[in-house]
Amino acid sequence: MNAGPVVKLVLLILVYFSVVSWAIILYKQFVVQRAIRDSDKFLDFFWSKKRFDTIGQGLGNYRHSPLTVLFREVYHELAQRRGTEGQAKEQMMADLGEQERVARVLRRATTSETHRLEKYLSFLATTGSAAPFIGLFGTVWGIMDAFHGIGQSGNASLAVVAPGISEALVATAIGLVAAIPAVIGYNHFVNKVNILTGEMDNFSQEMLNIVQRMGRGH
Amino acid sequence: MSATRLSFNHSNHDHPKLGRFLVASLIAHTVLVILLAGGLFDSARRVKPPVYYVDLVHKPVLNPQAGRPEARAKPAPKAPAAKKAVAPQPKAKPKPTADKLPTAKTKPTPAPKPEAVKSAEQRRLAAIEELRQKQARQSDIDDIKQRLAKLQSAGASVPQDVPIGMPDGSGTEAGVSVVSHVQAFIQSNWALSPYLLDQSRMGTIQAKVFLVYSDSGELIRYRILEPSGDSQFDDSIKRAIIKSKQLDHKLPKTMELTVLFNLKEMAAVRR
Repeated sequence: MNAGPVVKLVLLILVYFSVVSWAIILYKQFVVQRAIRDSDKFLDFFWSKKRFDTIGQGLGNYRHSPLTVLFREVYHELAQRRGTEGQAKEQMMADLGEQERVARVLRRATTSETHRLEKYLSFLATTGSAAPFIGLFGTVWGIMDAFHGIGQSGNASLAVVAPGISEALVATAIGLVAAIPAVIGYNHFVNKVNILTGEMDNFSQEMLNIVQRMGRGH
Repeated sequence: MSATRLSFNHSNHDHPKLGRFLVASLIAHTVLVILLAGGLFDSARRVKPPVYYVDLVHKPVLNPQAGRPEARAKPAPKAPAAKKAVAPQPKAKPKPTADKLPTAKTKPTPAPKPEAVKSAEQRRLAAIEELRQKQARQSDIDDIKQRLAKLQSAGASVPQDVPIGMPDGSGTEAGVSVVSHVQAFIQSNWALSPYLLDQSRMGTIQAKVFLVYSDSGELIRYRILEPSGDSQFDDSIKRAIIKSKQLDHKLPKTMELTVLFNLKEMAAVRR
């Protein structure tokens, strides 16, 4: 390829974007798929058991689900309170501040898990929006170079003009090749993360209800 | 529910490393680039080798050999061949002399030897047999003649091996004469509405033009030596010459040509 250094640099950047985008797409597919699968299984398991300690012992089977993190945080919080205060369960749960603390723990865990699930998605968004422009820049630069060469050679036949423009257009093509999968992947994973976030919100509400019922001694 | 049972790390999600996926993506991209560079997908857009068609029949040469400029115009050479086929006939003519033998035999009757009579009969029988054969041959020749005439009228009697040249050619080169080629080329670019022509004068309208073409087939200059007297015809010839400023073949050398354009002939070729 006879492209200039700027066009070559643009192509390298686009290849880098493409490689990393595809790595993120594969990684996210792996992580999100397992998270959804383990969440479904964990919810079935959660509602089939009546004791927190029994559920806590089986968490290892669903370690990829974000819901297990929420449950673990609440369970840990409740255990810490009981271990530090050493008071009776009824007395502990009667405290109205306890429910707020559990709610805060759930919000923190939900936020943390959402961030974990959304990790690297910003790179896909950046690639999807910036790669075509980077490619376009490379094309414009390449065409500028081509016309400069034509002006110097003084020959404007199609045989002289076409190769330079063709090479310059490769940059736009690679930009689109990098951007299209990134945009599709970004939309796909954002949708999946939204589904998981909704599941976490619902689970948080259920956990708060349970903690509240426990406080009332039901 | 003791704290010891909750000893697992809540942040432990057993995540796979992104690095592994980066390596996988890099390998996939490298393989794709190698496949593209190797031309795996290149077969669809591979350029087929160009095919060149060379019109040898109309190649203009300085000294065309004897032959025909076009395959279609070759019935003429066949006529001599037909004549040659007829030629053996005169040779057969002397044979009827055998027919006269019986009449001649009446004269030697004064010597009526028995052996001589026998041989005379044999000779007579041989002569009759020969006459039959001659008649059969004659009927075959007539049949061939008829078939030949049919083929000639159908215009399909051109043998494949007739040499490419000119009917009046005396040189050694395969091709047509430069004048014929240039005239045919200009005529191919000639156009004139028949409604503008004076039909009564059609046979007499002709113009003589002097042309100079370079060896690359480019028209250098031209001049109408003898105008036809019909300005529309002269103008149409000029337009055709200007259209023919670049010939479709190179010429052997820079040439000065005098070409006669006859309206009736040109109109006939056009039809």
